[in-house]
Amino acid sequence: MTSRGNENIYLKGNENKVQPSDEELISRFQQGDAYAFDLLVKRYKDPLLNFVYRFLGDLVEAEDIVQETFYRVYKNKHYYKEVAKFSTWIYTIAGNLAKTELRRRKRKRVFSIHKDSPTEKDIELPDISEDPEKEVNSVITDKLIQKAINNLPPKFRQVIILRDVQGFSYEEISSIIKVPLGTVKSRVNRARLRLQEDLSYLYDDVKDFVT
Amino acid sequence: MGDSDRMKRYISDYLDHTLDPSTQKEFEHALGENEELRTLTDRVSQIRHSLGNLRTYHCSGNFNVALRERIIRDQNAPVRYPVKKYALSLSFAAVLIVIFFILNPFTSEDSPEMQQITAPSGQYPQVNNPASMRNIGTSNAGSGSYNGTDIKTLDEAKAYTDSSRDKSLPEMRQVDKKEIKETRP
Repeated sequence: MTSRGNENIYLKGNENKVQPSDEELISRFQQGDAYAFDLLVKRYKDPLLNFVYRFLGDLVEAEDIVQETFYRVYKNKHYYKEVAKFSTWIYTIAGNLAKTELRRRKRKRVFSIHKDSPTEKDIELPDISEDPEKEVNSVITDKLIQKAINNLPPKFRQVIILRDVQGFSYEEISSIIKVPLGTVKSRVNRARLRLQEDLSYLYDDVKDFVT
Repeated sequence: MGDSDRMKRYISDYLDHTLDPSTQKEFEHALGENEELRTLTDRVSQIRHSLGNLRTYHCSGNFNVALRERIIRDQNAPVRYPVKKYALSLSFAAVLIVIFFILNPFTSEDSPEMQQITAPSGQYPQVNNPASMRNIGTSNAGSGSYNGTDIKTLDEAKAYTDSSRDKSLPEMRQVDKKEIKETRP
């Protein structure tokens, strides 16, 4: 269900083979093992891309930010201490970079009145396979949901993506965004309520269509 | 109405199975009675499901190559010093120095500081060079630890020595120029 790297590796890989944990890999990388860094990149590039993309709504910018995130991990590898989980650390870096990008974009928007919606312009639609109608519906739903996510204030957007798209626990989210647990729970609930308000027409239509 | 709002706050906890048993029972009871709450919970559940099943995107094929190139480029790049930062720091330091000299000008020989004789009794070196006769040290050193930093004119030193013989005078005494002239033989 979740799109985080660590779990997928454990499940999809060779089940007999025990994969090293993120913390083991970063420790090896800190000792100079470049291959460990490659494994971390392989493990986290797609989950981070989805996280940043859902936050910004722009795939190209999201990929740039993911690259910047790994670059910072590479440069600042010795700053990581094993008191926190590696996933928490790397998601904090990516989240901060995404927020910076969002602020930069807002400043830019003040000067530029006409700006194409990045969601409309940059999403690469995946190949349609098997059931084309179902696939098209899925793409449309995806876009509508993304639009609703984009309309959320950033602080709600971040927690809802981490919780419902990425599948982090409330405690992990609290560590990533450095906000108390109660605040995280409250934000998640409010974000979900806002989304259901914005997308109520979608679910009503689906309901009508099914019945 | 108030109770309904309170129940709305529990929707996420209910769906995440993090409600304590008594609140869960209360919430389920409200679900059975409140149509609006039921609809809301149902929609939030659908939202949750949809978000968990959003399509996933993958990094472009040249992601790893681009990242590696960037790292190598950075490693080979010449070290650049933050010139602007240093320039700013240096100019700030210069301004501080100028302000320091403006606020603390060098004192002249006739300044009131020079007229204060506060050194303890003892042997004083004779200083003939007026330019070097500046009060550059503290005068609180004990009589046994005088190290010559308290430089005074010979007359002043003599006046002080005379005054220190008088036991009725306090140890620290201020002598002005007129008094010095009177004591001169």
